Amino acid sequence: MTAMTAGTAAGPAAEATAVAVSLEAVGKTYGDVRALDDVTWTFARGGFTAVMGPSGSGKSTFLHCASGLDRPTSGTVRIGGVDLGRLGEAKRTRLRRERIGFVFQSFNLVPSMDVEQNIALPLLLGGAEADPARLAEVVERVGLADRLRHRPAELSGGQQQRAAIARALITRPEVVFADEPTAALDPRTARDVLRLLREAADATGQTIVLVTHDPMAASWADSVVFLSRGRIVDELASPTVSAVMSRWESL
Amino acid sequence: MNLTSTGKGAFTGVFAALLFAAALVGACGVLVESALRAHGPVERYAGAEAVVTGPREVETRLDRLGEAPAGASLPVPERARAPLSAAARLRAVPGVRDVVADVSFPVVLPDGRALTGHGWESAALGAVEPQDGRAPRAADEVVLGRDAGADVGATVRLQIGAAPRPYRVVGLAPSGTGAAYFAPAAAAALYGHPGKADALAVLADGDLDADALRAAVPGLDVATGDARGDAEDPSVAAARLDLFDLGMAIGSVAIMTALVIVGGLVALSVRERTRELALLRAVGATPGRVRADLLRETARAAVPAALIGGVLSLGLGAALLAAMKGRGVLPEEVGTALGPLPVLAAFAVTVPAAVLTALLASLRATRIHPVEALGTAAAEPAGLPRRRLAAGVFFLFVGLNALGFSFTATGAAAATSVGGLVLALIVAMAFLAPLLARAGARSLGGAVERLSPVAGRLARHASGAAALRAGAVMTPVALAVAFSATQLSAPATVAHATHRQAAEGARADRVLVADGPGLPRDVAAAARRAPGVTAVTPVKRTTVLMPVRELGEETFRPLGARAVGGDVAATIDPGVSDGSLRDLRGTTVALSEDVAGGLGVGSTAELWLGDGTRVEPRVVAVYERGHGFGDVLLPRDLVAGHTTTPLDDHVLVRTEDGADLRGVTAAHTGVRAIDPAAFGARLSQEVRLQGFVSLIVVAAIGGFVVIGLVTTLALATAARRREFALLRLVGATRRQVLRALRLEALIVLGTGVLVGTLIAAVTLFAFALGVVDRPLPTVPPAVAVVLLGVAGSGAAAVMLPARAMLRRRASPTVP
Repeated sequence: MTAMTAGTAAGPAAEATAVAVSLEAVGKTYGDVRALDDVTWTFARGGFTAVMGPSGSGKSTFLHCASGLDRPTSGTVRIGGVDLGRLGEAKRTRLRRERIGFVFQSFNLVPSMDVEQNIALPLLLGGAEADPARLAEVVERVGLADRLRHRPAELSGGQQQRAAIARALITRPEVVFADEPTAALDPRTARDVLRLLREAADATGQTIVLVTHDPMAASWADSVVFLSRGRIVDELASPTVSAVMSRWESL
Repeated sequence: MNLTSTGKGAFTGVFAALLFAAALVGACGVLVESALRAHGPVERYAGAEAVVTGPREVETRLDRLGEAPAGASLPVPERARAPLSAAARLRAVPGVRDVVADVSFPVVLPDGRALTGHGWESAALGAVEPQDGRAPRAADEVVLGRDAGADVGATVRLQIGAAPRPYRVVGLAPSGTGAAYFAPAAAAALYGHPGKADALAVLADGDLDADALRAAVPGLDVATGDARGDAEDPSVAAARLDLFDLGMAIGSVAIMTALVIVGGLVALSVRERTRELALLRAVGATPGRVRADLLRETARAAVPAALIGGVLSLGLGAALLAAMKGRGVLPEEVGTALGPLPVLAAFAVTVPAAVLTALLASLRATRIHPVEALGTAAAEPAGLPRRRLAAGVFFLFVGLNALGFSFTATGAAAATSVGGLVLALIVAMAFLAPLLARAGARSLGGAVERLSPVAGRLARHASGAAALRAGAVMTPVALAVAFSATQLSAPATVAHATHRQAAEGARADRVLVADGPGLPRDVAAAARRAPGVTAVTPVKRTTVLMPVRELGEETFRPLGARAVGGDVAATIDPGVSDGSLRDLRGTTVALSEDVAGGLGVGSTAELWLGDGTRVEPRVVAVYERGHGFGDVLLPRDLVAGHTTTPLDDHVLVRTEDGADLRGVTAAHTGVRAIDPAAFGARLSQEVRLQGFVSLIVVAAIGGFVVIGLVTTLALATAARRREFALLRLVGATRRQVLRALRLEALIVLGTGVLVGTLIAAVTLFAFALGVVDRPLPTVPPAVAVVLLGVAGSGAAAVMLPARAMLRRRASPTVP
């Protein structure tokens, strides 16, 4: 165990493990509020997991802690075997940049940059030039080849979210965390976005963690994890919309 | 209810900028009010009901280009004397008890202390009684102040217009008056202006009708009340004119600076709240409502800021006056007028200015579409509004026009046009700033990107994309740099030219100077008799008033003049381009090229001597070195009797080897012989004194700009929390964001500094060419200090809030 966690962010030991993300007794407290209560969970490599729960169940905190955006109050988070708690802020940022992709409800594109600049931004920050072939491939996948020179404000919501997904995929991350990516989109556009995430899991073996409260979105995942009051209360494999709905009702 | 709510930062920024603006405008108001209303203190004439002097103003008519001639007037720079014959007519006015003819002349004690000599009858004016002894009666008797250090019965050697002579102290007056009283007849003789007096002091028993006095002595000046102080010291009236100009000049720059800075701040705060305002519009607020709220909000910051700043301005103005008096730029006697008017002026200028800029900014707010609230923050439009572009080009044209003018003009006209040139270019730059910001992002950004590929590219992108914001920051930077560089370099250029011209034109190898009020006239004569001396020129500095023709327009100006005697051509070389200084005798004049205008050798000039006497001298020479030798050279005999004191300022001596001037210096009190280098240093010290005013102006405006810059930058940076968080989310490390920000500050501040330097360079080039006939201005090191100070405080204002926002341990969530 120690041998694995001692490896660097991109160390070969990390590649070997079958677990993409693991949480071990992770707790997060905001003042008196216990947002996460000793959550232990592992996300298998190449899996597509949806995390569901009512508002205030700790979904966002779960995602922030699992992705290394935030530090848990207690417990251990490992990504590809690397213990995030042992990394400084800069190293954590670098690990996120190289091995994790993010997709948000509010797209979070840089408004002053055009689509291509936005997609290539993680590469730029890593000091690498965008490989034209890789860029073309990602752009092709999200279907924005004819929108590369547009600024985010000139795009529809669905197009913006597809650009955000392209940005998340450009670095070939091991894990993509998606935080309510379809909440602001109409059902058809939402379906396009979810299909892109599904493809990422199926075609390139990337691990997808999707936080949502939409049963339709959750039904695209391999399994659904239910959060309530900061704890994981249930898991549903091979979810269908109706199965998720009925489980949801009982929360 | 107010729907909009400014962030604390914007409110504080607008408040601070307006506070400073109000304080500065009010302080200039204090200068102007003091210039207009303050009189010298009434001390010696306190016992007089009215004081009659010669006319204290000179009026003339000036030719105007394509217009009817217009009247112009200037205060008489030196003492305007009154004829004694008027005393009898004044005595005939009912109510007049007596008329005292007051005379003043410089007296030097053996220890070098300077006193002012008067007739004993003048003592009655200040109600001085000899506390010991009696009044002086014989020609060699004197009453001194107790602090002169002589006892009754002692003999003191007093230097009065000639080598020291013994006087017997017959009485002691109270300390602190700085006066020496002589018997009336002796005083009149020492005074040296037969039939005249400095002033006729009118003593009365009851109320006097000032108009009756004026009717009795037509053409003379009758001062009553506080105005008597001006008659006591004519230098105050002349200084008040300078003070008025100075107050108006700083005030107008302060107002413009306030408009630029507050305008930038308000526009920025509106811009950063576009989303919030759009949200208000979306939920149903009308454009008018949003605009009214914005205006009210600005007014809420402006009104208290203007009031507090206005009140503070009284202290600031008084401090400015005190500083200028302390450095000898203004005579001590200039009073300080503190009234409510500067506070009102500060209020009346800053509040409408703030509301006006808020109104302009709010026009933008009303163009916000409600739908903008629903999307993410939109990037700013790429183009510049046509009106803004047109305004910028207009002012650029005005500036270039002024540039063309200052190339053709010379002297003071060029100096004045230079001020307008800077202002026009700065205003043009304020309008065109976003374009310049983009150009800067392209050129400087390229360099920065090569320096640091990752952060550099982010910095370049940010500075170019947010050109409006970058422009709002660049403008005050360029303003501070251009303004302080020109303000500091222009006087330094003149000082340098003065020094250089004086050194180049110096033909004397010894200079006799006085530590006290001046050199008695017999010093020059004594030097002429000293062995080994081949040429002697006594020089007396004075001020003359002359209409100067520049580009067809005439302006009535006080000019620095030197009255020279003896062998002028052998001791000074002012660079005569036409005529000869040998002819400078009788009613003649030599003029520098800067003021000669159309007057050539042989023509007749019209000018007024220091006491307001009009003369029409024939021009005998035109010379180049106006800075080193003054704009006007006059024969000493023509000026004699028309200045406040008869003393010479210095005596230029040319010697053979081995000349001995010790006899001359030993025979007089406070007279020293120095070499031309030491004399040159003395001269430039005097010129440098004038630079002190520039320093005050730069400190005030520069400080203001820095405050505005820091608040603008801090506000702009704080408003970028979302942008920084976004970059952090996408995977930028804290260090990368800070580095990008540093480089962006380098690009933006660097562009501002470059533009400001360019404006200053163009302006100073024109100034140097027009004023000192050399294309190279002198740039004092203080300019570099200002440059570094502006850039440093700007960088700090960017980095400190950014560091605080990107706290090391904070999680990067987008708000």
